[in-house]
Amino acid sequence: MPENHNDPAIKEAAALLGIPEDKMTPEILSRIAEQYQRINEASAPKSIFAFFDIEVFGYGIFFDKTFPIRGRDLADICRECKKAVLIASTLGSGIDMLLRRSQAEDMSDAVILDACASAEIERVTDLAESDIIKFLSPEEHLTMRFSPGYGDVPLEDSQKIISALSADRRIGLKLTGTDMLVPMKSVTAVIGISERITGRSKDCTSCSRRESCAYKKRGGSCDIQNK
Amino acid sequence: MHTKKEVVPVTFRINENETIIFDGAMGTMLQKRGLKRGEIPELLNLTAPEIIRSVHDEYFDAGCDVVSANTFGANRYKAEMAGRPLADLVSSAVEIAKKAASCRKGKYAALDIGPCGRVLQPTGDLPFEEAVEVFSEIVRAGNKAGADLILLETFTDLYELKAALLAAKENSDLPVLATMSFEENGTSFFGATVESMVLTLQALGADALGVNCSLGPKQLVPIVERLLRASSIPVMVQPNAGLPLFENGEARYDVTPEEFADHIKKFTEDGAVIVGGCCGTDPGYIRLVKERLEGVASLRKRPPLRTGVCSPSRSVFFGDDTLIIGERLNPTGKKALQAALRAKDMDHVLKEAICQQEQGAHILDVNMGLPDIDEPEMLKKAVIEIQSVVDLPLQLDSSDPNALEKAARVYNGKPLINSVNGKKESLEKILPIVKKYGAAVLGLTLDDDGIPSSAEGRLRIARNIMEEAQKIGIPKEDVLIDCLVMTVSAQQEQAAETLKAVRMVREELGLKTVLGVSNVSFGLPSRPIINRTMLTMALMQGLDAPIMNPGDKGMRESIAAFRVLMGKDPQASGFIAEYSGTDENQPKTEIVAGVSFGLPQAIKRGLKKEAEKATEALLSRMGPLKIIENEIIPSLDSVGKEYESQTIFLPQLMKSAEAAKASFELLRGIIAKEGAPGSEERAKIVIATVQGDIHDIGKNIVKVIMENYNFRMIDLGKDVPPQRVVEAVKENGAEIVGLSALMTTTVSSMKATIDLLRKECPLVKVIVGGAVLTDSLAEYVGADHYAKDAMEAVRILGPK
Repeated sequence: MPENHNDPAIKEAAALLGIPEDKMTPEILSRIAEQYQRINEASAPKSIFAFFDIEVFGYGIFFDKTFPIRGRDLADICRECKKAVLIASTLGSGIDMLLRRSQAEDMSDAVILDACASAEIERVTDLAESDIIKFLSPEEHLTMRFSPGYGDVPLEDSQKIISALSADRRIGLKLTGTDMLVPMKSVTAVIGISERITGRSKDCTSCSRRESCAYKKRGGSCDIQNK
Repeated sequence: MHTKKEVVPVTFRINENETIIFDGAMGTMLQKRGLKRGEIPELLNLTAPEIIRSVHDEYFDAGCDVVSANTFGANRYKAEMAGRPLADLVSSAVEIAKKAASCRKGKYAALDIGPCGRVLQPTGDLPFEEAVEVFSEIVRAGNKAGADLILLETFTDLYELKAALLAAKENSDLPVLATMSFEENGTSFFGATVESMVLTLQALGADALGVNCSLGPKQLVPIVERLLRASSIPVMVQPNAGLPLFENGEARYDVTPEEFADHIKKFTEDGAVIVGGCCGTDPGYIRLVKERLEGVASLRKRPPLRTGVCSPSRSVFFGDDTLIIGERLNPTGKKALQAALRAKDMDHVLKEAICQQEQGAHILDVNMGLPDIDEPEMLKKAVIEIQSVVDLPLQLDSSDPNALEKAARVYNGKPLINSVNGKKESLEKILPIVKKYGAAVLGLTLDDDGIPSSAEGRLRIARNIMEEAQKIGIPKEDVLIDCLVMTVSAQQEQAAETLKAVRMVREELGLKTVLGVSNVSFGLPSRPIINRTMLTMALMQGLDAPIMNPGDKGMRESIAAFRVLMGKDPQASGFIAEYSGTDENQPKTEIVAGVSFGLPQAIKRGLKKEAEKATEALLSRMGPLKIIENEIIPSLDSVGKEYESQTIFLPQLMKSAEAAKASFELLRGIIAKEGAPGSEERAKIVIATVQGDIHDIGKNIVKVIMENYNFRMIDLGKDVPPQRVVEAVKENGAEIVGLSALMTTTVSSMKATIDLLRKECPLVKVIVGGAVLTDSLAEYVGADHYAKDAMEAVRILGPK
């Protein structure tokens, strides 16, 4: 729960709003903190994960010899892994109603609220990652977190993560017919477990939005890789 | 004569004195037999029926009365993934369970139906009617295959459960048991509370209701207590074998069969009639449950029904305290709302709904009756949209039975239907809707002879309405009465009769009462004095819920005072909080004392109230159109430039846009009332987030900005099918279409929309935007322009 303006989650929300640090004003910072508070009040964060044996092919990964998740980019990242974690996290459906309500009330608060919710789900997923690390042996390391929609991993493969984790029943996470996550502020991802330390950062080259990214269009980046 | 083999069909029945034991987990058993994570369990019905049969046999041998067929996840979406016809998956499963049951005495097979894996609109993209159909096809297949009963279980969305229950009722006569999964705080993932579930399912006619899955028996104790306190129908409990401990991704549960059985015994003694197990339980658990329940009987007296209505997350009960029913969602006499409804613009409705909630309304009346609009469609749409932003229960208000039926069907929770009256036709049309869709109903004391002038006459009609409702199975607790206020300036003696009738209905029939008070003062000066006094007098007669404007300060004060004087506000703490130290309680104001701004400064700084004040000041000097052209648009242009040069950012831009909008709305109101020569808007723009896409914040940003540039925005919302975009363009003669898409998966539906537009509306210009879009993608989908943000869209359309 971010309590002060230097909180990384608040900074991330500011980054998502496209506000560079040197252009930040106390007024906006306090508005972000205020909206973040609303997220904290309505949020019911939940994360689940499970470990799987994997086989990596050129075009994707096979989990437990049962189901594949496709994507060359993902396969490249997990090239040396024999195990992987599937993770799913969500802020819960209360946030969806809050976001809708806020848009009906005041769009200027709504854009901030939306960014705060995005920052918060990243934070919640990061926390789950720290839990995952506790299960690893000293020789094991996590690769970067890779979600359907990144690179060439199809969005529809979220369904496989949801099924394998029973995320529907356990944390209320589902997909629309077009493979969007519901509740809206949720994450599904694959993290490889490697015996070598790999680059943990997301960089723009493997991002599905590299062509369309608003930050890139403005000559910057979303700063996610600098965390 | 009968051969031994002939089976006498026995109907499944719930008997309050006999506990019914269900089986334990199916998934847990299948995993033990080698089912892997991510595999589809229902496929085994076809590929390995003997495995499923052996699970049922084990449970029956352990002593359960009912097994659940292996159909929990069998729906059209799963069937497609499995590559098998749904009917095959369902009927094979039911047949296997039936066979296991019918070679034993007094044993039954339930068609087991779980959530379908998709999310209903407006949170997700599954339309309510499609959800009903998804469940209907499961019910039809299971019913045909001979299921003895239907178990709807593990639902977390009350709305989806309502769809499933309607499907069960519309496609079979089988008994239906319905359970939801709750978190420890008694709320489901989708925000439904125990009490709302009970109100809704009871009214919809479930045969039993309860909780399953979610938690272990220990954590379920407080939830089961709440269920037993609230439910007047049999209660069912199927806990997990404790909480899951995850070891290497595999779930193990932390409650032993002994502890489990002890808890179940306690639940049974407290009043649960149907018990069983969920995740992690196996025949070992059920065997012990069977043993422990030997000779145990429930001593529960079912709690009496209470008069209540609900949304999924909020239940309100009449009688505990005065309830305010907000009356402002009604176009009668409201020009701005009428104009908004004709333009199919829901923003106004949503703002009004939120505002009434903030002013203290407990229930919102929703009336969409205008002679020149499609009222049934509009009421349905309004209900869906209001429920997507406000969690208050709604009162569906129409004189058109068709509108009431449509709205009651899609309502999420238990609504109050306004209204039925003593006319035969009204009773015959309205009461079946109330019954089928699980509503409460407000009865007006009038009939074919009009409104009786005596209280006794109104009591007679109220009694008749109550009895007619009871005849078709609506309990009297779900009937409320409005004794009808008459205009005192025309019929002075009538006020006293209405008040008397309120008391008589309460005392003689025991029904709750509702009253729209404001009509009383028509034709008199200082109407608020009469209104609030009438309200106070009615409250003294026992009125439960006035229909009123929750923004009426005087009436709210009267209620607050009444609550203190009648001891409904302990220690007057509510009153003190509201009315003491008013200085401290002043809402924080945007205005620095003594300083006032011109409109351009107010817009630049994003000050809504100041923008309104400045606009009012300007109106003495210039017409609305001049203000838009000379003040608002140039101010926005300058703010927009600062945004583009990154001096300010999206939050500030939107704050200015909201301030400009406040000014704009004031001007629109004046133009609507007085008309202004040459005040026509710029181009009409149909704007939509494409089908399949539920992320519409980007579209909403663009809409607010464009509105301020005096474009007429026709907002179709999110997840909009191509055909609807085309219809809206034709209907409104729009020149421009704005489409947004967030994900790669919905770019194809953007293309489909544009393809259809090119065919049907060749002259229309299409601008696209959204996170995933680029110039090249815009070209691929066939758009005329790609706008990276709202300001660019304004630039593309050019200065006026």
